[in-house]
Amino acid sequence: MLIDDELVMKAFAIYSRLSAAGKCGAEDYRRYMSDDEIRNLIHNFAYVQECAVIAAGESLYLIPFAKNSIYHVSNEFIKTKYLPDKATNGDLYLMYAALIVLIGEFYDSDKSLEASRDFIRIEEWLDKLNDRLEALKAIGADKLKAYEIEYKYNWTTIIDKWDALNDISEKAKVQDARTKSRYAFLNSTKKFLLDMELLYEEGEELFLTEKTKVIVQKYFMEEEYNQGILDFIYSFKRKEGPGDAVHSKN
Amino acid sequence: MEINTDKITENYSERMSRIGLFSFLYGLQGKQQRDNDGRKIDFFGLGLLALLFFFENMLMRRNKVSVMDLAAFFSEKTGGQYNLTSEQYVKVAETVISTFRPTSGVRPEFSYFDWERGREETARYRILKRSSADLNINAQYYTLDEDGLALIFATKEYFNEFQISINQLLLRKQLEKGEFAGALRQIEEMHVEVLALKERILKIKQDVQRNIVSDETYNRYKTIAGDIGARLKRENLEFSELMAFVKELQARFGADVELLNEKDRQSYYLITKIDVELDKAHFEHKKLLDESFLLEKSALQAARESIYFAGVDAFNFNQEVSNMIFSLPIPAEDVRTLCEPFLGLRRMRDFNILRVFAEQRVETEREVNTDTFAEPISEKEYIGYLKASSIRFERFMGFVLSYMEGRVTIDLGEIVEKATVHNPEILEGRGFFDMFMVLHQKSPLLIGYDEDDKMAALFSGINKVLCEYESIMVTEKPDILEVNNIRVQNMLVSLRSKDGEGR
Repeated sequence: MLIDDELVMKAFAIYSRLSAAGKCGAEDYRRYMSDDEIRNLIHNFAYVQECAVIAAGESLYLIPFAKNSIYHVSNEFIKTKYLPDKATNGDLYLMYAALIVLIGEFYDSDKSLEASRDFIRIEEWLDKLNDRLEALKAIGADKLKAYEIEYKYNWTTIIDKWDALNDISEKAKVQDARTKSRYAFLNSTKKFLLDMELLYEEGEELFLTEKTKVIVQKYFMEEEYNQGILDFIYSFKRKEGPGDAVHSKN
Repeated sequence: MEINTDKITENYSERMSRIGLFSFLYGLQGKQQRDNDGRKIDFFGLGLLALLFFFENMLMRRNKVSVMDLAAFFSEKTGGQYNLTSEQYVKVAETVISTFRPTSGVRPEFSYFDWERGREETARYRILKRSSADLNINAQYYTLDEDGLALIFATKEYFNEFQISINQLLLRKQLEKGEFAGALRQIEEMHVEVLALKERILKIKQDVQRNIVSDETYNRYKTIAGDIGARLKRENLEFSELMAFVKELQARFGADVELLNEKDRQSYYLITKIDVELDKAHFEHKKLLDESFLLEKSALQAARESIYFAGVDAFNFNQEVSNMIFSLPIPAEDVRTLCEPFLGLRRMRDFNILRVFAEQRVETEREVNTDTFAEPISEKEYIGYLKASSIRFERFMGFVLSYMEGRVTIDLGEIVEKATVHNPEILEGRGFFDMFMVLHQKSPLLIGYDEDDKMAALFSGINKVLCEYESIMVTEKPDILEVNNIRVQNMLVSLRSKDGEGR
């Protein structure tokens, strides 16, 4: 099937704008939606660069998929810009765990792909992350090590990093999970997600962007992409503690 | 005649959802708070009053309603009955608002057993939302969300879906009777409904983009889009007729406004206003009609896109794209121009949230840096370490078996070759080669027969994978392999099956 070269150039122009900015404007979006051939071409280009193109809201987004995609922000970039000095990969992994839990809190229904909440406050995010990590810690170091190898995920390091953010406060009568350092850490994670347009905030409330919702609903829940890690992180019940709400996907 | 019981429970969940809407008011009823004189506060009523207050503000196009505004309204309306300070009224207002919009962000829910589908269901509602006309960070503004509106309309006689059509009917009646003030209000309510419908269409559009994964969902959306389109078309016609009617009424007053008496002059001004407002509502409504066409179209496109995604793995870039480009009748220089830009494409830097699931380099005991002398570890710890290795070995051996493709021998060189193509990650680190060293040491290894606990722990994984074989033998070969800066002797792996075949 012959496609005329002018169409190819138009598609390429849109793709190059997508490539430069990660998203496109209204005009490009309209053309993409209305023209089959241009849409196919853009998908082909993205495929070559191991990306996917998704439509969310009134814009297109270019989403890098390959492990070593040239479109990825590097770990170094994230560490330098959003984490404190001398941050290691372990801190980055804790950030990832925080993000997994954040999304898990928005999509906690087994029965529908629709978000079960509209927003979350940072305090609750902190509490839920703490719950998940405490539950993991409770299964014991040996088992955890075995799971690390099985899932290729640094659970122990993540838990250690979280524990390390536990400032002991002399004034506190009961040790609260919400320490100043943990707040600071989540604030940094939040800033990162805001910059990547994965979150937006209004006052104290954090909302997922359309872009995030589309990626979550299209890919996040598929085992092929989440390697079973999502189910794993939610499969453990926490030991009962004061004011607990046990969250279990089993 | 038999009753079809399935028909009875058709769309059960929809009906339950509507009933669930009222559950929040009943929930408020349960509050036992009393005023300063000990009188029980009617939270149920306050809940309804709050919704009506928000609705009235919406009609007046005032979208910035804060807790303080609601508290002031409560105070004005109920001050005669209750003894409460203004601070207490604010707390009351906060309680009511947080019932309709929990501060945690989780939507208000109503759980029930769905007798049609035979399982527990939870309906979630959007009753109140943060107002988008929000510039002031310190005060929070709220407005009714779609379910809040549904609740308001549900407390009138008729159903939400036909709101616009019913508004139109009433409008016509009121115009005929000369009740122009009432007519104006009718139009204002219509306007609110049109806006609500617009948001609903937008939401459906977004859902469609995100959710089409099956024929079923696609058909559902197509039906919804079709229904909306048909209804809008009818309402559009009605609008045109109403407009004509209003113009007629205007004409009846004659050309000269000055000559009218006071009452008639008022009516005339009302009619003029009605004309303007109706026109506005009609215009908005017409835009909706266009949107509904787009909605149908985007449902189709989204469906096609999702099908495209399903097939993308089978796509061959070389065949489909490269050949296509090169079979175009364009001169060679242009082809080069076409390709060159690919090399210098400006690239954004993005973070795909799926990266959180990417495999990480797990720190094994060997890679962890310790500044102390290595201490002898306990028996228990050692067995734990062996178990961990066993899981790894299980995985590696699984790959080796697959590379063998039914043969009984393979050498390490070939294994490495295949791994580089299919599973390059297993070649990172020494673990993979350690396995072969251990096997070489213990060769020949009888499957399933272990000398002691330690061997059992270490080889449990391999025993599982090779359960169909009797033994595995690993012998040296003369050549040296170099893989990822590791130099290792080539080895021959031989499996002996249970009925004696293989060398």
